Amino acid sequence: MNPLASINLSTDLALVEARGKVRTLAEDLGAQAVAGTAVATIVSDVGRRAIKDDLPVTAELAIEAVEGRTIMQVRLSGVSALPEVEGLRSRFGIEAISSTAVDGGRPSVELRIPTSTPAARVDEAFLDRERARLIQRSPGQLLEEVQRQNVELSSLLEELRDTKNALALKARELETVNRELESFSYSVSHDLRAPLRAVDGFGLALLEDYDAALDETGKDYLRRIRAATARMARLIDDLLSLSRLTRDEMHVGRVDLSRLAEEIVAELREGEPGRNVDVTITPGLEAEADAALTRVVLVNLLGNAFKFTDKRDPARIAFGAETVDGRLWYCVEDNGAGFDMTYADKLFGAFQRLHTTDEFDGTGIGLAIVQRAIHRQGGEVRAWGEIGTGAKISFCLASPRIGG
Amino acid sequence: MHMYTLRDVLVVALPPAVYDHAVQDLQTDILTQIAETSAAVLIIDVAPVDLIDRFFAQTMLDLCKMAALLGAHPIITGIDSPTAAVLATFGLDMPDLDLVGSVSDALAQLGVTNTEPIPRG
Repeated sequence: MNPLASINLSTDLALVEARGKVRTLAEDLGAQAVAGTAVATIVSDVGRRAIKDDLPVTAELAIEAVEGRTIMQVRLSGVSALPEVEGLRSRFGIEAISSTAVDGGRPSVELRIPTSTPAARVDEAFLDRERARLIQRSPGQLLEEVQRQNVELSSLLEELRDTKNALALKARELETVNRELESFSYSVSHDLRAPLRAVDGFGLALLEDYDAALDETGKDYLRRIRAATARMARLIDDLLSLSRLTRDEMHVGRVDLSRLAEEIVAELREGEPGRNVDVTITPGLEAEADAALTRVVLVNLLGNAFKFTDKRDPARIAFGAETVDGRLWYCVEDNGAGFDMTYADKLFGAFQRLHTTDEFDGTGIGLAIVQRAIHRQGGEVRAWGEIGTGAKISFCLASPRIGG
Repeated sequence: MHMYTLRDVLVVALPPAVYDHAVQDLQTDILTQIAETSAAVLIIDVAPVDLIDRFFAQTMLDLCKMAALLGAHPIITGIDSPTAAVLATFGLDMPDLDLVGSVSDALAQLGVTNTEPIPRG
C-alpha cells in the first residue's frame, strides 16, 4: 500500500482533516456519496475513541486497481475491530478486512470502497493530482485561519487592556475628587457652624439685653435673623449627614423593613398627635441591606409622606412592595400634595425644592439623602407624582455583594 | 455557533466542526438560552457541520431530549441524504424527532415568516 495521505488521529483537528480527505477522495474517485459519508463517519468514530483512550491510530488513504476497477482503501492502523456498524457491506458495498498484528506490527482494519473510476485512468499523473488535492485539505489552511483569528483576538485583548487601564485611572481620579469633595463639604459645614452660632448668640443677646432700646420692628428683624440662622443650621446638619452617608462603612444584613416602617410611623405620629393619618404597612417585607442606611431612607420617605399630607383628612400613607421587571421594589405612597412629573428629575438633587418653605417645611435634601443611601447599596429609586393627588417613591436594593 | 430568536423559536446554527471538549459547552449554552428566552421551539441547523458522526448525532439527540424537558419542541434541520442514510443504517435511533430540510422550511411550517435574511454563522 502506497498511501496518498496518512493522518495520525491524535487531535480534534486531525479528525476534521481525516474526514475531509476521505470524502474528497471518495468524491474524486466517483464512489457513492453514502459510501464516502459512511467511511468518513467510521473514521471519525474510531478517531474520537482513539483520542479519548489516548491510543495511537493512523488513517491511511490509498488506491488499488482490482479487475479493471479502482478500489479506494482506508486503512486504520492500531485498530483491531471496528465499532458495531450495520449494513456496511450490504447497504454500501464496503468491505472491512481486519488484520492481526504481524511481526510486532500493529493490528489494522482496512475499509475497501468500490468506485466508478476505471483502473486504466489511474496513472502517476492522476495520483500526483490526488495527492495535491488531499494536501489542500490539510490542517495547514485551518491553522492559518486559527492564527489569523489569534492575531485578531490578541489585538482585541490589547484594546480591552488599554480600556481597562484607562477606566481604572479614571476611577482612581474620580475617587480622589470625590474624597476631596466630601472632606471639603464636611469641613465647610463644620467651619460654617461657628460663625452661625455667633450670629445667633449675639442676636439672642441683643434681644435679651437691649430689649428696651429696640422697637417692635427692630425686634422682629432680630427674630427673623435668628429664624434664618436656625434654618441654616438645619441645612448644615443635613449636609453633614449627607456626607456621612458616603463615608460610614456599610454593614449588610437582614433588615425587617415592615417593622422599621412601623417604628418610624409611631415616632412620626408622636410628633403630630392631632393628625388623622391612615397608614397601611405590608407585613413581612425584608431585605438584605445596611440597617442604618435603610433607616435613613424610610425616615425620609415616610417623613415626607407625613409632611406632604398635612392638609389631608384623612391622610393616607402606604408602605408596600411590588415586582417590576423581575426586581422587588419597595414603595411609599401618599395622597398628599404630589408634584409635577415635569420636575421629577430635580426631585433627587440636593437642596432642590418643588414647594416653598411656606407651604411645606424642609431643606430640600431629604430625597438627595434617600437617593445616595440607595445608590450606595447598589439600588435604584424612582418617583411618580401628580399635583394634588399624591406621590409614590419606589426603591429597590441590590444584592449584598455590592459594596460601598 | 450562532443563535437567534424569532418570536418563540430559538434557531441555533452549529459551527462547521464541533470538537469533543466543546460539546458540553455547546449543550449548556443552548439550554441556557432556551431557559432565558422561554423558547417553545428549538431549531438546530446542522447544515454547516462538516460531518455528523455517530458521537455527534448522539450528542444532538441528547440535546433534543433535554430541550424537550425544558419545554422546547426540538427540530433538526440540514441533514443531507447521505448522512441520513448512513446514520439510519448504522442503527442510530431517532425516535419522534422532527427532521426538516432547512431552517426556512422549518420556520415556514411553524408559520413564522421572517423578511430578514436568515443569518448563518
